[in-house]
Amino acid sequence: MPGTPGITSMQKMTAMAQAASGWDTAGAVLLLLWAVAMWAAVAGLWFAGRGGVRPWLYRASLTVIVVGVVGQIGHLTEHVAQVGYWFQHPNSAAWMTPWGTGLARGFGRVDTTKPTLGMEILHLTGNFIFLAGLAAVMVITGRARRTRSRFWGKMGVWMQGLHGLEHLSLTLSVWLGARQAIGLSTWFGQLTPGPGLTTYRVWWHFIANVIGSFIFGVALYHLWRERHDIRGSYDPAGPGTGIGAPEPLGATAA
Amino acid sequence: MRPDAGRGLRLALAALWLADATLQCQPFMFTRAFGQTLAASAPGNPRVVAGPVTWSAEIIGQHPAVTNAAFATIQLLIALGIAWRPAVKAALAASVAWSVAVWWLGEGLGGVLTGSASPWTGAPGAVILYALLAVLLWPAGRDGPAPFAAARPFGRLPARLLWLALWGGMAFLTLQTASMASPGQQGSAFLALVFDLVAVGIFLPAPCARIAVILAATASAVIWVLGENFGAIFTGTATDPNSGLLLVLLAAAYWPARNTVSVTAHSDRRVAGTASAAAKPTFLRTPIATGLAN
Repeated sequence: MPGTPGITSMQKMTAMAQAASGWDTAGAVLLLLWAVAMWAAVAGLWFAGRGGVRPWLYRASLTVIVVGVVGQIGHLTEHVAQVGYWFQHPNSAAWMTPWGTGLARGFGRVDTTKPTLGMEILHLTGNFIFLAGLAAVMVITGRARRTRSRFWGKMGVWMQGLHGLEHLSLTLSVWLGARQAIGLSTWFGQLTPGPGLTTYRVWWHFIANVIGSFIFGVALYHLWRERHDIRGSYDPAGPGTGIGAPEPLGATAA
Repeated sequence: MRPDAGRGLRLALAALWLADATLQCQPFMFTRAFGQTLAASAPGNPRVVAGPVTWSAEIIGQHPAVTNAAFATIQLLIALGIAWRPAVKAALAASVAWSVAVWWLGEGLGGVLTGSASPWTGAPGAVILYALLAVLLWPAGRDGPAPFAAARPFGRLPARLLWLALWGGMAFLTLQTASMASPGQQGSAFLALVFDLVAVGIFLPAPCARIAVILAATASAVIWVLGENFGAIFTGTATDPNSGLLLVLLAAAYWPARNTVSVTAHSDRRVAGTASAAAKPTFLRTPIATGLAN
């Protein structure tokens, strides 16, 4: 996540928002559709999983998780690149990769009078793609509730859920016209922009994503180790049917 | 958490009060210069804070020997009272009142309202940490199990919220200095990030909370050595060892105990090794329990 831009940088971003190309806009729309599709899939899978055992849910959930991994690799790469730039230019305003800048320009067309809005929407979208991948871990382990993968998946959902709220706050505050983005990573817009605040914000979001990605990685590792049991919980004839699943409503102990 | 863990921490707190009383007996404290030192904490504060600071500093400056002898005696009595079981509650209560008074009149609220106070040099003020420790180490009515010593008097959530407020506040103070045009802005920003991680980490499961507590203790020790120069206790003008040591003690009070849930988890694993359990899926043989209770 870029730091709070200086005046020069903001003017440049205004110009960028106005100069968004068709490719920039198309990229932004596709990224948004990616996030929407993932959340629609997560919601659909969760709803389908509420009924009986459906073996196809296992592979479908896995697909959503893999797509989430791909999204987070891209998202994390952006943050790593920003930190790399920071090492070279610790006193400069935050930087974004060319493709990140292009997508931010595309998102910026939502309201070209808000210079940093596109960048905020871009990171909000990236975060929600990641969160959908973690939510899919919760969905796939819905019938194996005592697995380690579910434990780590739940931890990841909490972590990235809070991070998502942070991005929502940053985005909405900019959208609603706040002078500075309001969130924990800007101390609610109370601090004077400059190298200190830029450093804080760049590293804040980098660390949040590294921790989130680590948790996601551990969840995937356990998902791999427990794959037979989790897959078994989706097999109507398998020994794992219903094990670890919540008891149906109204069920009583035999 | 062992029932006597709180007692050990209270004795450490008493030792720090004793050190304060000793430092208060240095020759410098019996001179007019001591009052002038206290008055120096007034500038930059709002008038409502600065006025009483100046007023009390004038009184101390006019009667340095009498007032300082009284200060040293009070601190000595607090130290002895905390160490002596029958007097521990009275001494802790007195230490809270004394700390709050000194925090205002002697330290100008640690400079937190001046906009330039940095935890690197002792903000929010060592003396308010004495008050916080007295509250968190208050002897509970019953010595039942607690997730950490500081949770025993008032419960886990209030203790965690106090931790969050302290370290979150320190992060904010650090960022205030980071947003000033001065060299080392980036370093202050990193320190604020460490404080953030410490503040939030206490809410995580025990293994992660332990890392946060270790990080807190390490950061505090670094602050005490590099930022506070060992509290300047060898300069002859220090009234306390400054905040670093107190923050280390505070971190010790939040060290997550090995709880009964872990024992249950081990028992479950042993049971899972039996023949009847072998037929069950792996995720039932290795239940997740450790750390969730925290």
